[in-house]
Amino acid sequence: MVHIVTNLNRGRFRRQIDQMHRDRKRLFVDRLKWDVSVIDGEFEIDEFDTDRAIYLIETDRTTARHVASVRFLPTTQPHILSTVFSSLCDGPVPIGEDIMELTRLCVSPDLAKSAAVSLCHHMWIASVEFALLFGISRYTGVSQAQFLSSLLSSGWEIEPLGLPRDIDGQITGAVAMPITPDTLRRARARFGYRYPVLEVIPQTQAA
Amino acid sequence: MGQLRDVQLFIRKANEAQDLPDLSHLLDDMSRSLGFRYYALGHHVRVLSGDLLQIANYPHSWTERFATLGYLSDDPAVTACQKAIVGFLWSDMHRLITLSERQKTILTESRHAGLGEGFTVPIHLPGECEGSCNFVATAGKSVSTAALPVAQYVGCFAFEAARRLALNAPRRIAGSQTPGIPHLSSRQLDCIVLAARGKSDTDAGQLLGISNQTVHQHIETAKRRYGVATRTQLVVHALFDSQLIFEDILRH
Repeated sequence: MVHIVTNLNRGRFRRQIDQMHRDRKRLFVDRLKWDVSVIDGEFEIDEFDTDRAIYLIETDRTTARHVASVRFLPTTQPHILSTVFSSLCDGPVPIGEDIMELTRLCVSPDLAKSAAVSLCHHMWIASVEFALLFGISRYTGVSQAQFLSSLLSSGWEIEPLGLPRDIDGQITGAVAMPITPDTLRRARARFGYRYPVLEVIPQTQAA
Repeated sequence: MGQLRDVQLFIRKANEAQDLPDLSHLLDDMSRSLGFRYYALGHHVRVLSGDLLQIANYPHSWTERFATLGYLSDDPAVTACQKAIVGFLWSDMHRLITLSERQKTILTESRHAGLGEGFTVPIHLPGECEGSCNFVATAGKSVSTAALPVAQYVGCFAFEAARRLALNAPRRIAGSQTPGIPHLSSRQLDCIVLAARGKSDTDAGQLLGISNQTVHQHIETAKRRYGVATRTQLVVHALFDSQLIFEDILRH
């Protein structure tokens, strides 16, 4: 099951959040060579990992360890597209209560590639469920051009917000991804899912 | 802004395309408006079923010569695709690969056939055979670098539209009413990967820390979900659906 981790329940997930920042460092800094900040040599944490960030975290069924995660930022506050990459949008950066930025999709670097690919699909389905549950009508994000085909073949609807540009040697573009109930139906059919993957926290337990 | 609007319009029309000829028209128009003359979109390897996705408007004489002489497997753009993650100009190809004599011949002959500078957008999808979308200018004509980011996006969206039209005909899994891909657990996938690497149930069990009967059970369940009778069929189906990818089996 994928857990929704917000500032209301993050106390329950301290260990997994720690593991997530370690895995993010190993994936984004060590493997993908992103130029992002590292804390204490082990944790990839940036200025947007605040109380306002919401994470979806998938844990290993037996060890409860972090295996995959994704971060959502409200677009009504400063986020990556509005600060670091606003030049990638031809028009204004999309902002709204019903728009969130999807960032830092991370799968633990320990996993075999096929497990990693299927966990990516799993997290995509979780992201669509999350959007529908929380009234989000589209995600925005920054993607390297080589991932565009994989996103499209997984059933995401992608709207470019500008043309891709060379940023530090990587062809990078800003995109929006509209989410409708049909997005979920297609994603589930594409990957053979019949039931929700999100674990929903009842209001009474949220705190 | 105008260029982005061109891309957006292309995406909308490509999504609405009813068949490959529709998409061919769109690509033909788009290549011309980007300053190219020709396009070729397709898979690089003939898949077993014979459904090679291939659409192009190259001069007929060149297409024929290309097929007769079996140039596809030596096509320098195809070889360079294996080294490239994003689009590249044909004039930069030597930075990606060392051209063989046969590949130099192919390039020279293509120029005689009227093909000039090209831009190849490689398409790598896990578990699927490689493909590309190519835009080619008339020999002797230069290509504006401003057109390349547009071509990069158009190539990706066109390929996905072609994939949808050619390959996404609804499939039904035997014994199931649900179209789509059967769900396999990560444990089942572990067992299938090891089987594909030639491991016996006993060896796989030792590697995974479970009994050989459990390995057997996982594989049997996965076979039932796919409605197939043999492990070979299971591996092929799982690869086709990207539940497994070749790297897991071949480069571990």
